Amino acid sequence: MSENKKIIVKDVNAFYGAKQALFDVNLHVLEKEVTAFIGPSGCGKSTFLRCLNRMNDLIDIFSMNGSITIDGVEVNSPTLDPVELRMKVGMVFQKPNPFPKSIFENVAYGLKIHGLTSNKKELEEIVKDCLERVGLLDEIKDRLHDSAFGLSGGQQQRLCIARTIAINPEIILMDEPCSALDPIATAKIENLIGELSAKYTIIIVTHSMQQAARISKHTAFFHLGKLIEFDETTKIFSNPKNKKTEDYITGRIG
Amino acid sequence: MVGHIVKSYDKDLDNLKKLITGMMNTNLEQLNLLYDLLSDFSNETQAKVINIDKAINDLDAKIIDESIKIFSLRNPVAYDLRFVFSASHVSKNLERIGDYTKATARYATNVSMYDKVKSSYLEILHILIEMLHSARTAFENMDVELSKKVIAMDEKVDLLYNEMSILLLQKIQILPEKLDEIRAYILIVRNFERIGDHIASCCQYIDFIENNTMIYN
Repeated sequence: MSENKKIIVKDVNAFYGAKQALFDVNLHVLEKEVTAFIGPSGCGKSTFLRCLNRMNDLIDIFSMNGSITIDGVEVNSPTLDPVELRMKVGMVFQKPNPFPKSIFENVAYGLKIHGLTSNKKELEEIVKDCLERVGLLDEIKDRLHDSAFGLSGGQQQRLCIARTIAINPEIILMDEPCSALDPIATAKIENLIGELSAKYTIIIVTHSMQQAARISKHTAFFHLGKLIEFDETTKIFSNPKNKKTEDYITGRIG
Repeated sequence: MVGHIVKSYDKDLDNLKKLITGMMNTNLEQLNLLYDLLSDFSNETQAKVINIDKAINDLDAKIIDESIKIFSLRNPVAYDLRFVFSASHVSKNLERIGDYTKATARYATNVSMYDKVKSSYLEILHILIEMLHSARTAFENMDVELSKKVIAMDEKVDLLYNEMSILLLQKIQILPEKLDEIRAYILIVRNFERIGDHIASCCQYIDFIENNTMIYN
């Protein structure tokens, strides 16, 4: 089992204008492992997630300090191209957001704009491979060129994951990827996350305690912008060290 | 500890706790009746001790049902998980105590109680009643220190059990014609020793619930 620290976070503070959203966050994320971020709404977990691929750069009033390194490279270095960073650190959002294109084109799009394939045959192979890895190919092989909007919510979310892995990232960030899905579609996504963790480092923000317990090896609990506890998931859910964590996971504070 | 945001969850856990302490009360009633029976045998008292076991079994079934309900509806974690998990284990220990008490009442028919045996048995039974009484208080208040004291009391029960076992084995050699009767004495004291172990086991779960640690005696 890998124990390599893929992401190292030191003393991260984040602000929306004058309002501080994160306070001195320190943690590390192990390579090829699922790490869950939990906490009540507004606790900063999504803000922190978005710091990892500089998605917050798109918000004018956002600022941060501290250090986030991925494989030793500072994420916030002015010399690092955010587009390159986001190729390495893919993201899946709360609501499935396929492009208004065909199923095939949704997966092919990133490959094309980044020039990652040399010919049409290779492109088709990669698209089909990605769709197969997310368990979608058998379900939609006869309608690859139909609109992605014709898929169910669960299928759309798996398509978005296929689109993310198509450009071969090393890290996948998932911001409540199952919150809009039914239990069956959720189970398929959770199963997929388990399979993908053999190849990718995955960080998932979730409001489902049971989901965090089922799929992650490590869990971080955030509250009011502070990282309260970070430990092995089994410890967090059986015997957390911090009373705030205990109160939150047992439903005593929100 | 502050209550849950979902108040009905608190009610479910409170109800489970009350079922456990209620079951302990029923066990205490049964043990007190056994004390009366061994002090002064009567068929009526013996029937009462035996019949109470049915109520104890029913409470055990109810506690298991309630635990399963909480597991399925509430998905307990951390403290709550340890509490609900422990409730079913404590209940099983109490159910066994009921069985041993009932069995002891049945053996009591066949014994005429030497004074020495009788006083020793009542002494052990007195300790067991005190242990269970304290165990109930400890469980009600989640009092780890008191639970440790109860566990320590079991050592005294074990000591008396060993003394009585040696004495009774010697009696068999001296009075082989009384073999059946002495065998009943041995089974009774063996039941007492097991009851002590089960009360101690109940108390081990209090530290587990509170601190996620288990005291082994």
